[in-house]
Amino acid sequence: MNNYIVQLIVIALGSSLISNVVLSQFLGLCPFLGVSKRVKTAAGMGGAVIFVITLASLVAGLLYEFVLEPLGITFLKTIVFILVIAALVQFVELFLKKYLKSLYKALGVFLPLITTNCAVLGVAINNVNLEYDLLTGVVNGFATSVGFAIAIIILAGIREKIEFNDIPKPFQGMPIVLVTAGLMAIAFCGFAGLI
Amino acid sequence: MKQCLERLYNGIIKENPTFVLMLGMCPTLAVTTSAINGLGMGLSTMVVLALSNLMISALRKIIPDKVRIPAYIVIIATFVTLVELLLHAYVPVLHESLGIYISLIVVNCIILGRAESYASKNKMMPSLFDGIGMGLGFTIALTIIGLVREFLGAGTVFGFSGPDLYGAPLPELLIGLINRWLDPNSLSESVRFWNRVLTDEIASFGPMSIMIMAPGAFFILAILTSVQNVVKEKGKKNGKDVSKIQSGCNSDCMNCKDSGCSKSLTETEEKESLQPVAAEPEDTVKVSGSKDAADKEAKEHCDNEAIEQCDNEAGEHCDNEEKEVNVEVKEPADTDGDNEAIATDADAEITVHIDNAGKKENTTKEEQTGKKDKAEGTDKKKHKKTLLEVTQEIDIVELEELLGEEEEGNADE
Amino acid sequence: MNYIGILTAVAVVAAVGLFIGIFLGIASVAFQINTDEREEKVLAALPGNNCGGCGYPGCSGLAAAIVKGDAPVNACPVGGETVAKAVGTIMGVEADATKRMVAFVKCRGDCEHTHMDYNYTGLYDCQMLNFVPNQGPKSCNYGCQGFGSCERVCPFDAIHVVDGVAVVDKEKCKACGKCLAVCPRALIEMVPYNAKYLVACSSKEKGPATMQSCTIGCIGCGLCKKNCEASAVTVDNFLAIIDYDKCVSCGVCAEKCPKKCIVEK
Repeated sequence: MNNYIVQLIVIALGSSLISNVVLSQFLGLCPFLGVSKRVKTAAGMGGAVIFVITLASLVAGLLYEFVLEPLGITFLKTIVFILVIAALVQFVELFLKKYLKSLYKALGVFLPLITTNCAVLGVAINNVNLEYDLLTGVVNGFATSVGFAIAIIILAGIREKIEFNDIPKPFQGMPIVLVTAGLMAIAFCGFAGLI
Repeated sequence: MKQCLERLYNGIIKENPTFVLMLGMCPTLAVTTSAINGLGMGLSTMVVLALSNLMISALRKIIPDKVRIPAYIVIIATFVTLVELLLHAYVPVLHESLGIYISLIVVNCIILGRAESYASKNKMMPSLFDGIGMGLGFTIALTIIGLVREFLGAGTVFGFSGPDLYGAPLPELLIGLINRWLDPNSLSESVRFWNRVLTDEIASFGPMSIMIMAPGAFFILAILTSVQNVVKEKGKKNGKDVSKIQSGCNSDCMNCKDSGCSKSLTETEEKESLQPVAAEPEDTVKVSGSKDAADKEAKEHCDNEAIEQCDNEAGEHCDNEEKEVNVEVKEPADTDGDNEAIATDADAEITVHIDNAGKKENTTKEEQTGKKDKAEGTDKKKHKKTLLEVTQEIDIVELEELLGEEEEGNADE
Repeated sequence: MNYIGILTAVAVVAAVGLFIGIFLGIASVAFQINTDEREEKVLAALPGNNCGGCGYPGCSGLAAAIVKGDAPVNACPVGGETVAKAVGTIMGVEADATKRMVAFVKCRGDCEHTHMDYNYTGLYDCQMLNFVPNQGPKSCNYGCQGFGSCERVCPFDAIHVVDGVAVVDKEKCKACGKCLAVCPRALIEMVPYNAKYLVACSSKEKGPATMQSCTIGCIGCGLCKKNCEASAVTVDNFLAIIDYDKCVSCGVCAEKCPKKCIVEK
């Protein structure tokens, strides 16, 4: 039991910091670069991503364990996962709109963007490839999304600071953001000795 | 046939997904750790793209509009699974190195975007060639980026390093070449100097392994995008149409109007977005203005450009340092009654300030009625000074003096 | 040929698809929000660019307020008369006649008519003017410094900094009021669209001082006030002000002005 919990913690640290989903695995770059202009929107996006990925990894894990594996059709995982994720996001949007209006107002714009986000599908497939059981898979998903949130909020903070700096003309706009992300990636490499 | 070739040309050069449209960045950065990986990924994507374009184009009349996004996704996912299984069976090395990124071709913006924008509206053959063209463009882009990263990061090219090909590591080969052309034992000191410089500083480089790792990818992409920016600026100056560059995903996710990536599954009612949205066209002109503005905002007029514009305008215009000013020295008592209604000193410098704007009107008036000035008998000495010099010459005391004079001389009050 | 395998695969995918379809269908019905259908119609009639000029959070906020009865039907300044009429038809109420207003920058002190006291290099943000020496590099401390915050905030691209001073494009302006809010000198005011003669100066300094800083500033001489037949012009603090409720657009004030600071639009 203890061992299991330690393992969970190790996996959580690994997914969130060491092999950060955005800065190491390059999943979820589009929203990472696009929604990080202001810290507030970045926080909203981060929240939405945590919500969706945790839920998605749960549902995908369930489906894999109880439907795909017993029937021996694991090769269908791509199709089934993506369908389920898309449907889940849609459902979450409807649910939020009706019952948690304030949360919808804060997160609602981002939800359709997350559907085709690499990160969600990536996490689901990672869970399968690394053969995690259900709880580990969910913890992995949660940690991954927390890592995404951390990265995007830090980037938004830096972007806000350098917004008025005297950036050379060719580098204005996307290039300087990419350079910033690269420097952040170098910084996150420092976590490698954590475990 | 011509249309098909045109599609190929479009995909490879005119609307290259990586260099021009900037779509599908996730696999680009993740997979280009070596040229072979880039090539393999590009070819897999090309196959998926071509086949899915073909199928979607074939079924375009049957799929109902409301569920088209899920349908496209299912079709694309099918082909991705196919390709994955084939790779796993026949090229397991590639499957190992690409890992989950093969499965992630499903969510590649390029595929869904092309399906939405081209395949669903055109016939089968052009769609197929569009897919092949885009795929080839993507492959070429990935291979090039992979080559750069591999060479800089590991010193190999397509997996071949110096020892494999020539029996010596690349740096040593380079040093050998330099020694052949610039003899290190030469009598000329400059030749020896340059030999030393090239040998020690440049040829003996070791690979920058950061290029292979994650940060290197970001840096390479930053350089790529900055080159694009330069090309875009040059193109704008020359009046070319540069609207397609970086237009695939204009990275303004809050106002994202790209169809494939952000539409919800079943197109439910209005998305309650808190950002400006293009208005419905109404009868009057007034409202259409807002629609254009909103459209513009969504496409190009984003924060960066606005700041850019204003920096230039506010900065360049009133930076009057270099602006040369026509200074006219006028005799006092010029009571025209218009802008020069100030009793001026004979002091040329002070006159400048007050007549700064008046001077221009004076000159035009001069042009029109040259006789008038002659009749008044005013001497005009045209003397160009920069405004900076002029401002520096003004003394506050003199100004106050002038103010005192004016109060007396001002008849209007 | 593993027929059973193939059939299973097809069946599972079909089942998942069917399940999702039914599930979402039920969800969209079960989670339907009972909105007043008029609200949707009103929302459709509004221009939809969420500028906030009405004072409500976006067009959906205004639609909700109109339907609830909190806001009048002509509350949208951007849509003007047409939208007010449309919304009025939906709500079954007569729309009052709305006077179209536009923004106007009360300053014409561009590079030609003013000069710079010093060279400024720094942040070009009008809200920072309180930290800039002498309230800005331009010689007139009341005037537009041309830093462009209004241009950046305008959602309709109607105001631009031209030659160092902000200028409003009358046709594009939708009177949303964002530029008014952001100008720290309060140089921008709402004037009727039809107003023909406008005082293009905000300088409250005495005549000689104004003339020192800008060649077309208002010196407060009062000629316009003396000659106005409708008593629409007042001079307060060495600055002329036109009351547009009284102004008949005769143009005498502009004619008589010695500094030509009353412009004709």
